[in-house]
Amino acid sequence: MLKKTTAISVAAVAAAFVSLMVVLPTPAPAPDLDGALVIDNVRYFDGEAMQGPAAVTVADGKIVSIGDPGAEAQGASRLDATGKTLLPGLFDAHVHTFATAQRDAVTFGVTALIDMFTAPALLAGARDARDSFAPSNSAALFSAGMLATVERGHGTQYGINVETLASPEDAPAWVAARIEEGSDFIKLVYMPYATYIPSLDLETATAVIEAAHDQGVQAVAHVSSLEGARELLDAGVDGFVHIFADKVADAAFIEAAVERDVFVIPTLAVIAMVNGKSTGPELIDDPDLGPRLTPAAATNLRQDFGSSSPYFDLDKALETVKLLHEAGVPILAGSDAPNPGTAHGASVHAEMALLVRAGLSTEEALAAATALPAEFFGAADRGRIAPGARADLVLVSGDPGADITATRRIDTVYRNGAAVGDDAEPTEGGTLTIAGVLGDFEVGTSAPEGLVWAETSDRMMGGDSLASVARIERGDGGALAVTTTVGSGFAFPWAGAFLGTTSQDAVGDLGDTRAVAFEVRGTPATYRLMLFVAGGMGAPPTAMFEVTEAWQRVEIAIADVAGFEPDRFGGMAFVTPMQTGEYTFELDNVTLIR
Amino acid sequence: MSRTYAGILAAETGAELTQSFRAPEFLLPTLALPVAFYMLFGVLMSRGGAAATYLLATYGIFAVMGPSLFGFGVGVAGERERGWLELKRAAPAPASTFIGAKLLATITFSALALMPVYAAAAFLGGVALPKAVWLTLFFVHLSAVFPFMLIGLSIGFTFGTNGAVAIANIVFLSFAVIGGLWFPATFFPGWMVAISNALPSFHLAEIALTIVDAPGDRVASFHAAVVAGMTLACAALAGWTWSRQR
Amino acid sequence: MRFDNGAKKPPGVMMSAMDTQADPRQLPAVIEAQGLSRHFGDTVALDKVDLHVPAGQICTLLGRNGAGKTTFIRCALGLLPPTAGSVTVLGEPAGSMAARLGTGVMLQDTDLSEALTAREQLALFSSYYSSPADVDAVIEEADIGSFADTRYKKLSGGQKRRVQFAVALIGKPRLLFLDEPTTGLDTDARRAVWDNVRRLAARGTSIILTTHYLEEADALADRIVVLAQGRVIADDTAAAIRTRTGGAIIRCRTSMTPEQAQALPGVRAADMHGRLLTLSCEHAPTTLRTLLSADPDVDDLEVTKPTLEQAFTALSAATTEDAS
Repeated sequence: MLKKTTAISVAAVAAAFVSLMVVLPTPAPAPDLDGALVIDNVRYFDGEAMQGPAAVTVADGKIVSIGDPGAEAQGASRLDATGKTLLPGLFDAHVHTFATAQRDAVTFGVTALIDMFTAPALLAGARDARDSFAPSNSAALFSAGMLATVERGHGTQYGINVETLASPEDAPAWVAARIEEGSDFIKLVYMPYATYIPSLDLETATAVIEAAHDQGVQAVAHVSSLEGARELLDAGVDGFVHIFADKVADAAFIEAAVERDVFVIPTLAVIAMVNGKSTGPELIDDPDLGPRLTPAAATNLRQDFGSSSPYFDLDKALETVKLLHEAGVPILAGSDAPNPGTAHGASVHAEMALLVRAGLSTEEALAAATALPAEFFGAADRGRIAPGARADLVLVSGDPGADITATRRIDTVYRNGAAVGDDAEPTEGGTLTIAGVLGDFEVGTSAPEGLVWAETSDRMMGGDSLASVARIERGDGGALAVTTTVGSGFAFPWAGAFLGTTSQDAVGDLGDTRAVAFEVRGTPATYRLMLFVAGGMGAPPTAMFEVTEAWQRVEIAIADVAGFEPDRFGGMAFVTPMQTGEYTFELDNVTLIR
Repeated sequence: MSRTYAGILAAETGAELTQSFRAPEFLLPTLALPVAFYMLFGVLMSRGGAAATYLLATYGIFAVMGPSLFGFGVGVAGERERGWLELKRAAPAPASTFIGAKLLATITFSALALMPVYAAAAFLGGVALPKAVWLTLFFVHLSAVFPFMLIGLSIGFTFGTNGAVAIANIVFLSFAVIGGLWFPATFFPGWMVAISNALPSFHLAEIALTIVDAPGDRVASFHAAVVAGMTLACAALAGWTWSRQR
Repeated sequence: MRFDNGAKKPPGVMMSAMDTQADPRQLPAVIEAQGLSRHFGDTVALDKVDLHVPAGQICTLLGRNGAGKTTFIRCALGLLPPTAGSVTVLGEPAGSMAARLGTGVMLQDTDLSEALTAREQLALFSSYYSSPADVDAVIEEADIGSFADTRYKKLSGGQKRRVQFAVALIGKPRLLFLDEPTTGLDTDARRAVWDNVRRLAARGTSIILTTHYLEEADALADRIVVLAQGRVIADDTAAAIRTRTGGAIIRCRTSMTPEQAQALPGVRAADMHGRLLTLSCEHAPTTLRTLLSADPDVDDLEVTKPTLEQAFTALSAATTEDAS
């Protein structure tokens, strides 16, 4: 029996040893320090507090070390950043992603976006893109996708096809459908005290929150009143994506918010605009931010409701934020771009300044735009400067720890360790050879590498037309369904589907393409194919085509499209006539023919 | 069931292990103390990183010292006092199986004490090492069994149970502290460094630190030679005390 | 009269059990000690002991504490090197592996491992032998089944001795050393050990037993070797030792004084309680004749053979006087 004891003990210890050896972690392969960058003598914000100065070494898209000068000896390039401050790439914790949002945001050091409502079609590929360590000129996207609202409720007015909820029983299937589409979390609209718009009732809102929790995602809410917010606290909501500005929060609400462990994204910038105190002009006038604004972004910033609403009082909102913050409720920086008076990227800088005005310290305001959103939205490797973290970084002049507006003195933005605008991404900013099938919609709405299908409308020019795109079944495969409403807000209205390059700077080369061919059916009318010239200004080269209710194949010779330069392709759009009205059409097999 | 050397060794080892498993006053401190100390100093206070790796190298030596000195070294004092040793000598078992079984049981226990420390370092301290380094480190740590067990045996052959435990405790603590197992020896004043250099724990820790590539200049072969020499001296001491107590 | 070690042994040294056989000194010896001495500093624990124990014998070493019994056993087991002389066991040097393989040992002041059960201790020791006894059989034979799976630490003193006895049997020894095997046992357990020893002897196991219980020596031994101050002062059968230490014990009521009684011929010792006199004498008829004529009032007269106890007391007293 003693021999058996020996055999069992030795075998057990040996087995434990072997298992341990199997699971013991091994270091990631040593980064190739040949391509490493050492940002030396730099003050840095680690996500909680200012540190340094130290040497921050970046390689292979990650922060390799802090304060270890050894890398220098191994052929890394060195940047002396004395007097400058390195921040984690900023988050905008409340945006709506359309068109060029992700590219615009990066320009202002905002390397990650928490989207609170967008067309689900955009979510395809968002996860792969944000997990990639390849250099990129586009912000990472975390999104709610479609929002939970009722028919004709808030969210349905933007022209994106919204699947609404009618009763609590709809909630589980609705949430499951969002997760299937790629939503990272659930956003619901709850404004039962607004007289001007219908809203989810409390029962349905609660059911949505519970369904989200049951299916392992968090639920955040758009609220506009103190009462509504209080009811959702009891329903178990995880966070608020606006602060109500009708009243200052009372002590009971603050206490409940602390107890329920919620976070708040106040979106003070948009409240300021509604309240007639827009931050837009100061961003346009900023010597560093102004020149980075695209004309469309500048236009958006200039928009102003220009009146004060009794439901939107910035001072009350600031006071509530102050109280919440003092009570320990996490405050996250979100701008609600691209609402009027805001712009993607730029408005985060205004939002941080407003948070400081509400009583946050500069370091707390920085954390509100970095570590906190990363923590609450599951972006584990973002929002901090630490060894192993993703090298999404912003280098600014001066010290935002002393003056929060120093975040606007952007020196360099790094995305996955590569300076944005450095021609870091080979498929961007260079020449993109485009040929063959551009969209067959067999699986999703994917386009060849470097290209993306999206909706387009005159809203980017201040119009009020709406467009949404989605894949639908067609026979054994699929097609792209385009739903539009053409308004009269812009002198030359349009709405439709857009195939563009993923990089603002990329130039397409159609080579020896002879014609663009596609199949189409829809609301009968004369539609337009716009072929954009990269960097071109003014009206794009355009060709017309007829659409009927039956499928037909259309072929347009590019030689016939006056003004188009095939080696300077900047995108193409299939859009409606300029007449006001509702148009739906379906596109398939968009192909370049030699 | 016929008499074979391996059979006797297996039975003796089984007896040693069974006795140890039935002694919670030995089992708990031996297995729990190293990982508890490592958790405190290597994980919680150092917040991972380079310190977690450094202290893994030194606490591994510390983890092996407990079973070696107390379990099977000092344990001999009690066996001697109770006459158990004498009965064994009158029985037809080779003396080498007696020592061999103690060695095997000590190695088994040391492995048991080491593995939680490794797990804490890896999964709580964030220590990641190439497999070959983990493996080499483990064998370096286990090799510490030899000098420490020989020292323990010498104590056990020389003192009574109570005296042996007291002496072993003094040796244990001074080897741990002055040997630089708890805090790096580089923090010590000069006179202490001189004492460190005379302790096998210090040189074993230096070898382990070389394995994990801890910062600092070390020549592993020098420390290995010192440890080998000290082990031989300990063997001679154990042999002498053994022959003297007969 | 007293007996020296060695050559001048009287014919009575022959063993009763061996009477029908040849001279046992010609038989193969299980123990052969020649001039065995062991000193501890100035103390002489064993003094030139010669001892030849032939196979198949139960040989008891009898003596007071400190007489050298345990020292002899330790030398025979190879645990103590002799200062002078030699000892072989089963024809092999004491302590050699060959000697140890044929020997079973139960030592005084020796505890087994506290944390192990009897069954585990037996399993451990059985691994030392090429054809050991079956563990269960030994448990049954030593009658320790009721506590064979209890940790040794929790056993009573008597139970511990019985486990030690069992361990001594596990190797099916040809020669068994039992050093004070029944110390701490109650009467029943002691008799059980005696039965065991007799059974083993009947199977041909040679047994060297030390004891300070004369009763035990009397009950078991073919041969008693009396040790005092490291020397053999007697070596014979129990009966012969009894006989040789004096003819008889005389008890009577008398009016004599102790001094008068002591002066009687052949009296070795006289003991007086009131009028009750106990005389230890060399030859009863000689003493009786004078006693009866000297005191016509003698009453309640009783003549007995001396007990071993009395014989042993007499022997030890003689040695002590002789040494001083």
